[in-house]
Amino acid sequence: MIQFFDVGKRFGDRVALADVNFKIPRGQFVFLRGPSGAGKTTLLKLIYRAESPSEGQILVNGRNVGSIPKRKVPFLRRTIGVVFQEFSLIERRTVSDNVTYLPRILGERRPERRRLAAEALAKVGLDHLQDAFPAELSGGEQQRVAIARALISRPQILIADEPTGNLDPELSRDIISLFFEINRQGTTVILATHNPSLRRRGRDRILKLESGRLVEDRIMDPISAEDIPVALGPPDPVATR
Amino acid sequence: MTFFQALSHFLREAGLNLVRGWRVSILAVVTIAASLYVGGVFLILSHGISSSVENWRGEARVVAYLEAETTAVRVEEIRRRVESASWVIGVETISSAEASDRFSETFPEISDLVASQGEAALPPSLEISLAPDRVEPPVLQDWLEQLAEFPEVAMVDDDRRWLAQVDVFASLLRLLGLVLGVVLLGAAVFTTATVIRLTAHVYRREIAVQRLVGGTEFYIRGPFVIEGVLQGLLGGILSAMAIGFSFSLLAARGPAQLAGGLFALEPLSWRLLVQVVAVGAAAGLLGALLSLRREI
Ligand SMILES: Nc1ncnc2c1ncn2[C@@H]1O[C@H](COP(=O)(O)OP(=O)(O)O)[C@@H](O)[C@H]1O
Ligand SMILES: [Mg+2]
Repeated sequence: MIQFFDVGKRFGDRVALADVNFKIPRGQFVFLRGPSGAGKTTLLKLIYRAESPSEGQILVNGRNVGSIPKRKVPFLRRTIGVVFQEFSLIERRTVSDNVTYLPRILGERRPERRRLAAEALAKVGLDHLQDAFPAELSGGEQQRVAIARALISRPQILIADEPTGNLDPELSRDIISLFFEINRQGTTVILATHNPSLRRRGRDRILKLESGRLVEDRIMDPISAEDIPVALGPPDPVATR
Repeated sequence: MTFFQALSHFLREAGLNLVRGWRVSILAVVTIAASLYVGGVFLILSHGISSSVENWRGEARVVAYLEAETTAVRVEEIRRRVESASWVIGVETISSAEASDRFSETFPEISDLVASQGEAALPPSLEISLAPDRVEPPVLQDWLEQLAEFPEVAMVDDDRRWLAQVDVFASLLRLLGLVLGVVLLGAAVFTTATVIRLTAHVYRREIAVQRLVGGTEFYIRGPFVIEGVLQGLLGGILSAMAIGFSFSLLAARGPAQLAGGLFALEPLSWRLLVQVVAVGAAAGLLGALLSLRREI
């Protein structure tokens, strides 16, 4: 579960986020939308403590992320899978090695790493490409490898920042379907995109940012296929209990 | 991950980095080696001179040359006077005849010259062995001046005067070696830091990935620290080899002596070579830590 309480983030004088409040229950699929520069990347970075909030509190799985000491941050990150655009795959490492950075850090030996890589790559349909190098893969395949890398620790939360940014519409649809599939297995998925035309399913949530403020928060009703503002939507299962 | 797993990972990664970036690695290794070589050679030379001076000083001798016509009785009197000082260990009387004999022994080729001058060609003398540590220097100085004022004493030759000059020279050499060594080592540390910063820049994407998947700073920075240490070790070993080679060359040129046998070249000790390697490793480590403080 992820909760933001009155979160703000400033870079010097520039306000990247202001008064952000939301609560994402476990297993939800969230589209984080908004134009370029709206603050999507900043919001995601706050979740895995690549940035710390200037104001407010952030809870991730019950932990106050903003107050975790710096040397404990790596342990938070190991529980969150991140697919990020700017630092994608490492060219000089094989697909298998790219996927198993975390097991390697944890001291797993090579045979175990290969087994874990095969397992993660199978989830994205690429288990036959373990020994290939990134340059030998298509753009869509590369993004799948990046997703497999994020899944390697079987995280409860998967974060993806513009995962379809470089892909053509058809490949984008495939990648989004892959995220839906991962979400069906119980993983919370937060996917940032500035592309408003991505396919959605019932019960998927939309958070929309504009100039650092949350301007929309709705869930698509699975029956009517209409959007319902979260405040009026189905009661929060945790809150009613 | 256990410590040894981490260490073997660091060593493997650092080794790979060294080989992949061999051009800049060589630059760092060579600057470290060169600075250690220059600094090391100066220090060894100055140390050799200083310890020679120490040896000579331990057997400090003052020779009082007497007028040729001094009678044996008078010589004996003066000898007694000299001996009575507490800092005099011994006095040897050298008669004219003994002086001539010694001269012909030391310089057989020109002994005829002395022989032709007759008995009195060389004056008698008193060779005085001193224990300089038993007396304050000014007291000794006064005593020597009084000795020189005896009418029978023609000249007092004090070895220790030029020993002091040689000692100053050795100190200067040592200072020069230290300054050069420190300056060059500073340059070597800077080069290492730059090389490692460069490596880190080449691998910045990979470093970012390691951070994002939850790599600790220890794990991420370790290979770069070890890379610096390896560069320093290689530089140190190279320079120790060069120092050893230079000294064996010098030794092969003749007996391991310089300046007409006055300065005995001390044999190189393993301890010193190990120290050179250790200083190299420390310089590499320092360079790595400096580059890590900001860049990685
Ligand atoms: N490290 C930073 N330093 C200064 N300004 C930043 C930094 N990161 C983001 N910003 C600013 O914060 C705002 C939000 O950026 P970002 O979160 O990247 O938006 P998005 O991902 O929605 O395109 C932008 O105005 C951006 O310039
Ligand atoms: Mg962004």
